[in-house]
Amino acid sequence: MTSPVRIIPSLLLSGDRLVKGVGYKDYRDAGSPASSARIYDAQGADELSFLDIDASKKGNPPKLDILKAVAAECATPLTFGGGINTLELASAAIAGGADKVSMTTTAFENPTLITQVAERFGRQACMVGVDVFEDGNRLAFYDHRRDECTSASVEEWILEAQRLGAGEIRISFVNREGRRSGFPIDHMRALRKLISVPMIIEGGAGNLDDVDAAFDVEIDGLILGTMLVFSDNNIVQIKRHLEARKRTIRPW
Amino acid sequence: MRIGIINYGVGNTGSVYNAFWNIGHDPELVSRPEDIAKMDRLVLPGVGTPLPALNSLRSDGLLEAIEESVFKKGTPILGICLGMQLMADRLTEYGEHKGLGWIPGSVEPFETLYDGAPKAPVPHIGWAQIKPQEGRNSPLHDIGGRLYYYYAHTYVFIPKDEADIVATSDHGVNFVCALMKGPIFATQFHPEKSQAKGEKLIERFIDWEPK
Repeated sequence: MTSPVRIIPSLLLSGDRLVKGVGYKDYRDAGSPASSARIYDAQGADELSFLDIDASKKGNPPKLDILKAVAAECATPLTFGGGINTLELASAAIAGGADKVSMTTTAFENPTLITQVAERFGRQACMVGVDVFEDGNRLAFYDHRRDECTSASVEEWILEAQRLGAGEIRISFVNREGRRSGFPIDHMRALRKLISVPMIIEGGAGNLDDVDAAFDVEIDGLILGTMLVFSDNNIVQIKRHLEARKRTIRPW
Repeated sequence: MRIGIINYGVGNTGSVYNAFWNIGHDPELVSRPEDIAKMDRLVLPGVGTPLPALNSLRSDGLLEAIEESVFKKGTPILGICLGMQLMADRLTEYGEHKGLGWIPGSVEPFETLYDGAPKAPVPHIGWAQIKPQEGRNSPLHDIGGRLYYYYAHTYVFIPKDEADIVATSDHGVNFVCALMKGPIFATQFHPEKSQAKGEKLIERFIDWEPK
């Protein structure tokens, strides 16, 4: 029996507000963190992905007070990321109510951090994010701090991160973020062969059919941003649609 | 009714606290032996790896106080995730560790159940439906509806005695997800992170009269 695919709303924090952008730029206001968390929880979100983008972009310390306020609102699992570059910060995030920490640039710059977090909190609490940019048939490794692609190999880093202790891999398709262009199924299928831990996909969902199509690949979770923030879709409608298509989801 | 959440430095005590609070209880975070003795219900949460957890429990008379309450007075205790795994005889995550030995069995990598052929991604992270055993006086008895709970684990409890199993779940293979022995009730999943069904289970644990 396959496990239900998690439907995971994305909460991006900038200042003390949520925002949503296109291609990691052009951010618009998307509401209050704590009330959004409460609403998604009430709608039956399977997990929340909460990312402090000021901390990840500018190197500010992550806003743990807002994390605590969000954690107090949700009886659903919470993943926190943004600027977690030491074991101490990872510990502070988990003490603040995160069930799992997510590290992207910080993990790539200091891979031993992955092992430290896994040894202290278990692999299941250690998510590594990989930002990718589609370049024809290949995937380029995207560095959001410089807004450019680097020469690093996406595939090699995914294997290395798992070897070091990553318990979950999040793939973000940066060129699709906020553009509602659907998911790149062929790329996802190729990545699945490299990823033995849970694989979480982000970037591209525009409508219910896009979400449904993503289930053609054996993914473990789908992070949704724009579709929940700037359209009249909600998690109950999405799950109802998926259940009608006989997809394996958790009932709401 | 005093509910004590054991605060030993490795649990997600905040989430567990919120879950009890949200259903109308006023739990206390307890770490001193004299406070543990006053509690009518105990919760042993746990997030992390075994070694720091076991070291912390085995210092400052904490473990002795918990065992006094549970085994002498019969105070019901709820173990969650790592809190359940610590109750085994033996754990194998990042080294070999002697567990508390409250429930006979050992904690092994989840892949052990796969018999060589991977059947679903490990770690097991996400929701899974559970199957409570019929006719057992456990807090899971008769909750009703489809019971989905949230998991985040890389290791799994393999109990020696089938009589201790009160529920199983499925992630590519069947595995044990809830145990009961005397005043001990323990779950591999996280009721405090499982929305309405989790809250229901916590209520049932508070009302539970172990036989």
